[in-house]
Amino acid sequence: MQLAIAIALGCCALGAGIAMIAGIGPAIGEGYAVGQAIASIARQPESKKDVTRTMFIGCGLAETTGIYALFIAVMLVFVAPNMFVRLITGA
Amino acid sequence: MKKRKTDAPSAAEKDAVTPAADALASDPAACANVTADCAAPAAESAAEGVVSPTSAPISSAPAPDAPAPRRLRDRFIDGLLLVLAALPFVACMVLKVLTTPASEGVEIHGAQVYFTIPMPIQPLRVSEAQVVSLAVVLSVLFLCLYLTRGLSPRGHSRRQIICETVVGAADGLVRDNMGERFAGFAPFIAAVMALSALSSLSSLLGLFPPTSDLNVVGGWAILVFILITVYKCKGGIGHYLKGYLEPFFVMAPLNVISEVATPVSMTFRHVGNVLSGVAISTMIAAALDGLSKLVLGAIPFLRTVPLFRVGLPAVLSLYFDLFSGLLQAFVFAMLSMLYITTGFPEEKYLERQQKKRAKAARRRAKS
Amino acid sequence: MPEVQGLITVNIWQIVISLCNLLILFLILKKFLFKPVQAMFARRKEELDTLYRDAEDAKTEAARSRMLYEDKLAAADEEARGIVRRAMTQAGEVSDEILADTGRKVEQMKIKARRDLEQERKQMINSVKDEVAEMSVDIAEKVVGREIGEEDHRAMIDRCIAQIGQTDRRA
Repeated sequence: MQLAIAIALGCCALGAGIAMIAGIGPAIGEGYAVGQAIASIARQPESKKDVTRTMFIGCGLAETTGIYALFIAVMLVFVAPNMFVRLITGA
Repeated sequence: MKKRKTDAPSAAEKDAVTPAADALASDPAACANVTADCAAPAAESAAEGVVSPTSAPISSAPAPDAPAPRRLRDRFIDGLLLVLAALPFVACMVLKVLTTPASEGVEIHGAQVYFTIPMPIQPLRVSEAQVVSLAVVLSVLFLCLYLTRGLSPRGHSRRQIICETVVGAADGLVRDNMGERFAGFAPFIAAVMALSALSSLSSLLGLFPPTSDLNVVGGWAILVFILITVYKCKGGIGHYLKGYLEPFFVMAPLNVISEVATPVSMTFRHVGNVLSGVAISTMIAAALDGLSKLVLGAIPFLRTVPLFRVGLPAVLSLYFDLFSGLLQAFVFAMLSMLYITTGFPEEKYLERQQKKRAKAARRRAKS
Repeated sequence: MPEVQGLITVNIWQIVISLCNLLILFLILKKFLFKPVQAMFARRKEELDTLYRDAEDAKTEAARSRMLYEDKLAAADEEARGIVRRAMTQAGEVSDEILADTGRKVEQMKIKARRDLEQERKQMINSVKDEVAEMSVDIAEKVVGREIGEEDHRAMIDRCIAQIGQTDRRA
């Protein structure tokens, strides 16, 4: 039982760490988007307001998968251990 | 569902948008300028031009010939409305302080449930999220009542400028992104943004933000999904079902999944941002707690005072609560606008309208 | 002991409540914020339209009045010029008449003067003829030494003087 609980908790922590590898995706995507936004502002300074707004919206969208990963990690750290322990001791 | 029917006619008001509001409302800056320009030459006539026979509330611009007790009553009502607008949040804070059990450390958990009503499928748990949501709705109601007192075409009080800015911005946003046809959607988009932004900002007051609760945001996303489906079906149900079979017949399950993924992703995007903000703030608070215990543990005086928890979390909440919450509210509204607009089949809808009109004309000609 | 909801739970009734919340807020905003403000915008646009229409009307009115006055002015100008022209022609005619009159009068005076001159010349010649006749009679009396019978020789002397008058005239 103790071993089972230990494995469960350990894997939760491990899973949380692996899940956060997905944080690299939004970083690259948003960095690229901001670079493109800066290039287009440099090409046409009057469009700064529109470009900035669209960039923010695009970043909000691109953040999605990173948020999914963060979500899973947070759940694994805070919610999952309780659930697994209850499952193991209850079952 | 009964409530759904009330939405369809209001959403169908898109064709009945007041043509008068077009030119002015699409440019909020021009509206504010127009009020300023009209107010300057009409300063003398402001006193008599302001009293409108239709609206009961009296203008807020100081009318030198208005009797004093009326002004006093006006200000009393204004103050009352403002107090009523702030009251729900204060009540929530008091409730939270009274019902939170004193706990030693910081831990992260869901909303606190106040009472439970047994219901058929699942018990209805009225939790803090519901209460704060209700507080937001009441607060917005009283704020609207306060802001629209004393509206007049030539007035330029602060309240009126705020009103005009908000309505103009919402109208402008909806017209820019959804085109002229959906101009009647402005109140709905404003409602989504107001609810989302104020719910996220209520975490600044120490309350449990409803947007970190899956059910709350899930409800909004399901309503938006219903709207998207309704507008997709305006081109005919056959056209809607056929859309699932494009481009290949075997793509049907994938199309269904992508349909279902729309509200799910909107929900998770919003909830994930706010929830992870709360989680990270909590973890940092716990870390600072431990740090202060470590550093100040030697001093017997300050052993139990988490000194480092003062100040630093405020800077973080600037990003997590203010920026992230508001941005996510805006993204939620923009996405719902975009999905509704792109899902609406323009040509098919016009074709169906023409066919219906032709059929009605033929029936009238026959009888 | 207060119950705490899990972090991730799905409760169908809470979803329904949240859906109704959004609908209620939509109706609140529509009725209490958007309707009054949009009515106010419509009223303002109407006022501006009436203002613009009145200004347009006043402008066309002013343009029309101006055209009217310009026409009147032009007519008055024409009239004045006509009057002046008529006065000038009249004056010219009158002066021409006067000049012609004067010319005629001068002509008449000239003729009269010439006639008077002729008359006086004739008279002078006649008187000179008479004196010469008398003188020649005297001379002839003196030469002849006697009295000449006035009637006999008067005819001869008149004949001589007429001859002299002819030569005079010829000369």
